[in-house]
Amino acid sequence: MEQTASNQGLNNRASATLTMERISVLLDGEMDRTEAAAAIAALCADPALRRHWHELHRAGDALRSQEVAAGDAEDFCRRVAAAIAAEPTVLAPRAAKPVSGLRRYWAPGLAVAASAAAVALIAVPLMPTPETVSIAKNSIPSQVATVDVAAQKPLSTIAAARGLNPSFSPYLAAHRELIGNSVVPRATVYLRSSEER
Amino acid sequence: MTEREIDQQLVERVQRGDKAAFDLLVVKYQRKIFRLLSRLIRDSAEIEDVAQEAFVKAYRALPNFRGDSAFYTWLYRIAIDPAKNYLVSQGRRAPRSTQADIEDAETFDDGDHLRDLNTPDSMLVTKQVGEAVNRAIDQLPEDLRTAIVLRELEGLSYEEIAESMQCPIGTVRSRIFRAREAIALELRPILDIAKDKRW
Repeated sequence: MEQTASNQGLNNRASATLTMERISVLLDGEMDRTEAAAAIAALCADPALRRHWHELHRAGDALRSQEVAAGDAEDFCRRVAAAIAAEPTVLAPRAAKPVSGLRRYWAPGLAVAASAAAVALIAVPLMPTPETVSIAKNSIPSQVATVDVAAQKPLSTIAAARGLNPSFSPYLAAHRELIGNSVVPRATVYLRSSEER
Repeated sequence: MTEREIDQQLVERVQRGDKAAFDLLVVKYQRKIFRLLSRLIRDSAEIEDVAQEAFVKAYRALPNFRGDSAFYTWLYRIAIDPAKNYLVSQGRRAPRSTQADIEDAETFDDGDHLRDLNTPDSMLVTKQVGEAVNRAIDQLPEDLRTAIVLRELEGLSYEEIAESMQCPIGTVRSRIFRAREAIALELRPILDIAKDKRW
């Protein structure tokens, strides 16, 4: 039992030494990325390891310059830490996650396909089909007839009927031509009807 | 992974709200900032105040740090402003910082400027630090002494040291760490870092 506790103590010391050695390696910038991230996380979580970080830095500094090491303000880091603790925590805006290679290729294609589908959904029902054309022909013969009659009526007659000067005839002709080329041909029926009134 | 990349990892942790990561950067760069400021400011108490202001300013500005330059170069630019303000408040002309100044400040000289600021007390501490370092180095086994000198004074990489000492890199890691530990142990009573005092 006593020997087990002793062995555990030795293991803990060995583990602590290994961790501290890692900090020394981190200080020298001689770690790979993954190992460094783990060591930094351990340092940030453990004040005792941060103290060790400080002492290892100071040992190197003392070797290079006794003045610099002696100038180590005993409570400077503590003062700065206290000042930082009083500051609101800084948070940098997160950069957008990089798009994966596969997504980069299929996402634009998907967007184009979705746009085409949306256009089809809206435009196709509006397009005249052979059935709708025949139904339209059969269902509103009077309107079509009215339109045809109106189209054939001389412009001067229309102007006279509405009490307008015959000189407006070229204007009415241009108006009719414009209505006839409308991008909304189905509306021309109603426009003509209105003119007739 | 280079030191710059490690600094960047620390910066990113701070940017995610980890203040302890900023403490690590302060510990790492406080002496360099002191030394930089000692070129401009003659009063050691003022150097500490200006250095503290510089670190707080750096912390506030850290969300804007994108890693385009090394963290220390960026910190230098931030630290120089409060120093200039101090000089102006003292009626002295603020120097213009240049890229050459920044590069010069990156190197660790022998502390000439700090030596100029020595008081009798600080001279005593400096003397004690020197003696402690010499004592620690003298007591080190030859292989540890060589490894730490090649690393700290000659700036060799672990790979270069391993090649020079004809040993595996793992051995170099261990030797450098043990040498640092020995020096830190000698310095501890002089610089009086009580275990639960600093943090």
